[in-house]
Amino acid sequence: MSTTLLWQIGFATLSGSLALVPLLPTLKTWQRTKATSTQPGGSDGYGEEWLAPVDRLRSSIQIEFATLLQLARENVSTDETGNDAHGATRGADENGVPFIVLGPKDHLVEHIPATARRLRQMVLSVRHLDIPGELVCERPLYAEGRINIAHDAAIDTALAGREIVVGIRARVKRWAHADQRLDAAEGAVLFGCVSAGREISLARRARFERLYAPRILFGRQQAASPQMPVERLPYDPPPHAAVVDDRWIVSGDLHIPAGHELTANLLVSGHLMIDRGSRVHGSVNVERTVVLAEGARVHGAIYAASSVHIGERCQVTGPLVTLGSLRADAFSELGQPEHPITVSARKIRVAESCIAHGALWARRIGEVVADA
Amino acid sequence: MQPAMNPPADARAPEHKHLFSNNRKTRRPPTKLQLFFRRTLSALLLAALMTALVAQSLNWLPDMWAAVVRFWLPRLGVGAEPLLGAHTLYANWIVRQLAIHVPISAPTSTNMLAHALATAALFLMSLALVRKHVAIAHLLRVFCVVHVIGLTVFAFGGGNTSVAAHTLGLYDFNIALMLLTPSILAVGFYLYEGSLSRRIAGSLLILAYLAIALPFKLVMHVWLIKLLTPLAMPTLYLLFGPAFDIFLLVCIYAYVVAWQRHSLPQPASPAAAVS
Repeated sequence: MSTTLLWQIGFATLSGSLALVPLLPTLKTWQRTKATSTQPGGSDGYGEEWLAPVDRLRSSIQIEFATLLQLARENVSTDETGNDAHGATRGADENGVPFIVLGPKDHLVEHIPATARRLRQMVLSVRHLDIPGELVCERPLYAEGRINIAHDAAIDTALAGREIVVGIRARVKRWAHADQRLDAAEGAVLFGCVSAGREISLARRARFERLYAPRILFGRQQAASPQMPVERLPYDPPPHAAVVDDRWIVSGDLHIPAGHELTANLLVSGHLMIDRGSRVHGSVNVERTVVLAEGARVHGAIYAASSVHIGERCQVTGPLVTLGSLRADAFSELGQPEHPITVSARKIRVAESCIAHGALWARRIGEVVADA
Repeated sequence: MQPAMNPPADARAPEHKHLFSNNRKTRRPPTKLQLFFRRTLSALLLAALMTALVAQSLNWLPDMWAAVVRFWLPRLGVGAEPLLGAHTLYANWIVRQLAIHVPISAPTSTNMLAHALATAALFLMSLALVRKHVAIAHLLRVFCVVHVIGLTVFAFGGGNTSVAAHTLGLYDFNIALMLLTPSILAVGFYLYEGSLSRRIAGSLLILAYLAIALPFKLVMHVWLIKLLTPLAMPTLYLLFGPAFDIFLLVCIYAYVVAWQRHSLPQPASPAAAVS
């Protein structure tokens, strides 16, 4: 190999690398795109990504406020009169964000003016934190115990070591995470992501965008009346369906009659109706609407280009994605405790007594209604 | 029991005073109008300073670029010599120009046929790629269209065959881009970014890239023109000339802008924070 050729190869490599250096950050974007387009639900779905800001706040608190929180825990001294002295500490962090650290016997209401309507400080408490009614909190809230958000209050972000209780008509603007349980009262509005380590419970007329918990309860939970076991008949492919391997490719609508069962992945170009008590073992991909009548079950994923209606006592065990709206009637169950799923729809209306497991994403708005 | 009055923060935790910037409490937070004027003024000042820095460095940068060109051209088998002259960009300001002169003969009909066949092959390849790699296929098609236009111009007797003019065009554009970059940053990045060190670092990163990449780009163009005949000149200039420079500038700009965090000052005083 001649020397000139070696120089040429070297020059081409060097110049090419130099031209590609500004494009290196795009590699990160490609990687991120791959990560976000994963299978929804469970450990690798949207939920884990939604918790990223929670982890960031938690770690920043552990780094910046560990000493102050420890002092606040230990600083329950007594003054000359023998009463417990208040251990609240005020200051500003390195970015100039003001904060208040509350001790175990401190109450936030004692540290803000009585006429205050907006709180522009970050509040950290070593025990419980009570947010007074109608107060607008513009900074993160953190409590190692419970956070009570009173009626009509608005918070930006909240992180609680135990529970969060969102009062009547109270609002969460960006996110809230409780390590154990989160309860939202009637009329609460939960924008952004609301997550809990164990359970989320939403009362009637509560609205939401993104929910993530192993168990999500909607409205008042009532026991469904037991159903009698029935014998299901096998359902054969209709004449207008082409069977390819384990797929049924149906051109037009498909109606699965009541009391039938089939094992196949369905690709339907029209509407799909799964009638009472029928079961589908496989995924469902429908170009129009999906309707599950009472007691129907789909053991697989559902994708619908239009809306999805899930009737009473229905169950879906796989991810559910629809470009339109989703309506779930009473006693229906989305996902299973051992297999959480992702549900994504433009609008979600869930009736009381429904249960979901995993992540719910209402891209526009979701609501708990008395009768969907 | 009446709650005790809150003593000042200094009395609460004096040992932590050094950890957090508590002294900010005594400073009044600036109003939005003050912030706007402060940002605008500092952006203009920094832009002027950076432009002056670029202008000053143009006294010695052309010599360095010429040295790089002189190093690479003989090793690539291109017997050319960089010509360092002088020309006026602005009224009283002389910037040395760098052009590379390579004597190249006019393209023959055989060259044109080879280029036309290669372009057709690339177009067919884009047809095959369009299903799986849409972006690559469309880029190939753009390349083919530009190259066919260039070939047509050459076929009708037009087209420039002077490598010196080609490299001088690239050089002039790069100089203008380097001089304008601080002004471009002043109307965007400098206004959004609060940190002075990040502003300076971002500007220097972009300018350094432009300064380092220029001689390599010139040598690469000359080498490719020598290999592919002057028929490649229009395509190289249109696709890998100023347009490509702007594309790379936007890439680095996007990277630099993504640095900004916490750029807007927050209300620091707890007294002012609660309204």
